[in-house]
Amino acid sequence: FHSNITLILQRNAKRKGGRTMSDATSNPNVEDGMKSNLTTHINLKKVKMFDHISQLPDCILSYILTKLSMKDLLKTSILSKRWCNLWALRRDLYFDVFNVFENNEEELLQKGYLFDIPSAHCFIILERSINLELSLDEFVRWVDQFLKHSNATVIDSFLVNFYLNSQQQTTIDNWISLVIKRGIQRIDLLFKGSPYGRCDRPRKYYKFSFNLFLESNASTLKHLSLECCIISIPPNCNFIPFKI
Amino acid sequence: MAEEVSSQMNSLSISETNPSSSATISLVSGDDIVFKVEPTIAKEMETVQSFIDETDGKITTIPLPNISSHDLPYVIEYCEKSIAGKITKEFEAEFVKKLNNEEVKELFLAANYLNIKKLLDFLSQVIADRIANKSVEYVRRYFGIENDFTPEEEAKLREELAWTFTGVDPDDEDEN
Repeated sequence: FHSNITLILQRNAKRKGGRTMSDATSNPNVEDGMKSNLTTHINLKKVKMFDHISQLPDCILSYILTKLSMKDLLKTSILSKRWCNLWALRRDLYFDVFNVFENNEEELLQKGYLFDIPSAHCFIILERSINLELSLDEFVRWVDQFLKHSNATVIDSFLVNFYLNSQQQTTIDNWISLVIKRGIQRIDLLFKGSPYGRCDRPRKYYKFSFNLFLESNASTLKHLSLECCIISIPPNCNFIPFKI
Repeated sequence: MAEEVSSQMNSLSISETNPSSSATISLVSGDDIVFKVEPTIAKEMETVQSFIDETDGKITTIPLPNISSHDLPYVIEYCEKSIAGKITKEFEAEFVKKLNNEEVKELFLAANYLNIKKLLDFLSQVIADRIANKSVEYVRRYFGIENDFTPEEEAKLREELAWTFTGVDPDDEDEN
């Protein structure tokens, strides 16, 4: 098709040239006109049309990568050698039941990740809740594996929406330490697990410690959103992990 | 479907290139159909606009040899809605319904070629939805990716990532 573009443009240029030629004597800008025709010609050639999505440059493919669920994103790593590292371009990580298990409620119910249980407030009302026995360990392992496999050099945002608590303290601390090292700007730890959280069980909240930021000299954090967490500020420390 | 497209084309008026009507921009599809559009539409297409700018608006007929007269009306429709500020969830849902997998791919390539950021972004989501939960083989076919792993390398990778391969949907073979 390259030759195609050239042909059509030449045709245009000729027509254009023909017209301007007659004005040539009176119009001192003709040379400029010709020049711009030439640059246009070159520029349109620079724009390449691809036959397959796989031929597109990384920056265009990253548009698609940012729209995939975490599960589908990870799967792209075995498409081919080029794609093996492409998923590292994804800078916003988002983990919830839909991104990790199944992308719709029906399937989540079918596979037992969700079930309907009597409400803690009124037992005749059924509430759709997360089946922790089945999903908690798998979810934590999933996020853990994902981060271990990720060779992303930069992670902008990290969101976890799941019913997590102090039992996962060490694991979550490791996640946070890792994303801090990748220049994290936005952290959302939504451990209420909306809309499927369990309010029927007493639990100890995860402790989000500002200590985690002390390792890195300069924090890049701009946004911190915590749900069902305790913030722990180390004594004698006036350090606040936000970029000012 | 065919009727819909042709009626769209009628409303866009197919005509011979007319150099005197400088107000409108003529986009010429690969199969030589001319689509007359308002300059505001051309502005949405960065590739076309920079072409016009560089010639100081002297050239108003733009050949788009890579885009067919089947795909171009969709692109124009999207741009029209976009400048009218009428890109709603409903419009997008209706728009997507009309497109088969092949058309989605072609439009994505066209949006990239014309450099229309909004359309590219929107179609990225459509593609992501269409490959959601599909097998690796299906995605390879869809993207036109040649598998350059040896069977051993692939088996090893699959083993490493076994924890993520639960519940893959059956491939829809109708479009491949």
